Amino acid sequence: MAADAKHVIDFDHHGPMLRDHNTEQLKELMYNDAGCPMGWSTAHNGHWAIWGYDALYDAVQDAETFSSTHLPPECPKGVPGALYPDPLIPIDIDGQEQQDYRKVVLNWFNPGHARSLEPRIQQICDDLIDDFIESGEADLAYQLFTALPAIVTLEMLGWESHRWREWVGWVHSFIHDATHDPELAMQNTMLMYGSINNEIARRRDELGDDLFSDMMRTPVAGKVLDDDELRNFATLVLLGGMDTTSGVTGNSVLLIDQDDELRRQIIDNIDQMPKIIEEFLRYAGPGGGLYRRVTKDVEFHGEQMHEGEKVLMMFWAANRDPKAFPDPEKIDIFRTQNRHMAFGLGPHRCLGSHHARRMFATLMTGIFTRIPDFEVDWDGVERFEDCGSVYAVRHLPVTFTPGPRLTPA
Amino acid sequence: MKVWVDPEKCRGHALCLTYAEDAFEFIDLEDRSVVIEGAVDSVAPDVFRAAANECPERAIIIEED
Repeated sequence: MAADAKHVIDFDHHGPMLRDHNTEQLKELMYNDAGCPMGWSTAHNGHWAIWGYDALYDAVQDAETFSSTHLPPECPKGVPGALYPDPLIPIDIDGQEQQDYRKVVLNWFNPGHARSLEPRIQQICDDLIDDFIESGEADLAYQLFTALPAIVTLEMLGWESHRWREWVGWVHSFIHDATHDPELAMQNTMLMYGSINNEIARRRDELGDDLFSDMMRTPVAGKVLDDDELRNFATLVLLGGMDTTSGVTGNSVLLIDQDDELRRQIIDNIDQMPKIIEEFLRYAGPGGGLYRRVTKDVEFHGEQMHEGEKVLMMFWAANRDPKAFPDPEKIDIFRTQNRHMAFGLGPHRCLGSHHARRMFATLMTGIFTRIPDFEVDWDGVERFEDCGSVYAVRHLPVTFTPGPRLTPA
Repeated sequence: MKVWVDPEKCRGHALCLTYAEDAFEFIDLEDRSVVIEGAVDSVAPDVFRAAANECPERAIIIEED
């Protein structure tokens, strides 16, 4: 396949280069001699990668040509093909069916609901910072950036939030171990599925007023979701909720630690946080390789694509396309026309984006208000080994001037 | 000036509510934004233009007089 590709590269998005030399790798793709917005990579048995902003914009609006469907065993989604048996709902589905599934949860995933959660998000953030602020040191990635979205997600679902560490462990394994240790990823996925099944069983007799009860009671095309559908829907809520917001917050904090002027700008403009975060969503997003499959032979932005070929949609690369963002490598918290694709575009726009934005802004405000002089202990920084799906920080140790708790212990 | 949100293009990012909260509102169950009735008369034109500039789907349509 794609023997006729014009721009051929050897690019492994699961490899250590993208993780350890992220900016250099993304630049290498973007600033190729031929000016191609996409190319055919020979890695993982061959696949397209699209990084140009305009090309990605066009691809994402055309779900008929660029399909998200997961069709194991012949064509499982992802590069390489994903291990899990059924489509995740609704991300692995296209068209009206996908939109119908989204409707099930729109009462929860809308800007107003995210706003209504703000006092609770603030409380969780305050409490988590209280846990370490007197000590002068913390692992921000785990104790704060991972904990907060995980707790919020579990509380929305109506599941026991004190078990967040278990859920997070399974989710991280699902996302980050699948390529380099598929057996471990499948083991953890099965544990996660078992716990989701327990939640389904627990509600069989009595539904509550939580997100998961709504998922169980709301019919799609006239019938309520069966156990498999519920599991596949809940899995996606967990994946979206537990790895991405923590990723962008960790990535951002690492960048700010290296730039005193940027830190000062953020502290001086802290009341502008809802706009400031847009620039970090653009430049420090958890990125990842979202996937599409070409459904028909098509000529696209100078390349001949063939039915059945896989495509890596590199939104985070497009967010640094100089054609769309002047001076793209500069983090400019006052940037305008910042039409970034951190949450994707088109019919698959991230359902959790409203909540993610609220949590990200709350976390950033919390840090730059309560521990503004934090210093990263770079020797202890650890990224997840595989950034092919989500580019995120596992451990982010910092030291800072100790401060007072907001609530007595 | 005429302003509207193209319902086919809007995908519910809701950035228009961040940049112009007096001008746009969200229809939750349709997952999209609309211009608040009468806002074109009460909100400054530049506010609409700023929101349109940030819309990643280019869904905010402005027809200048």
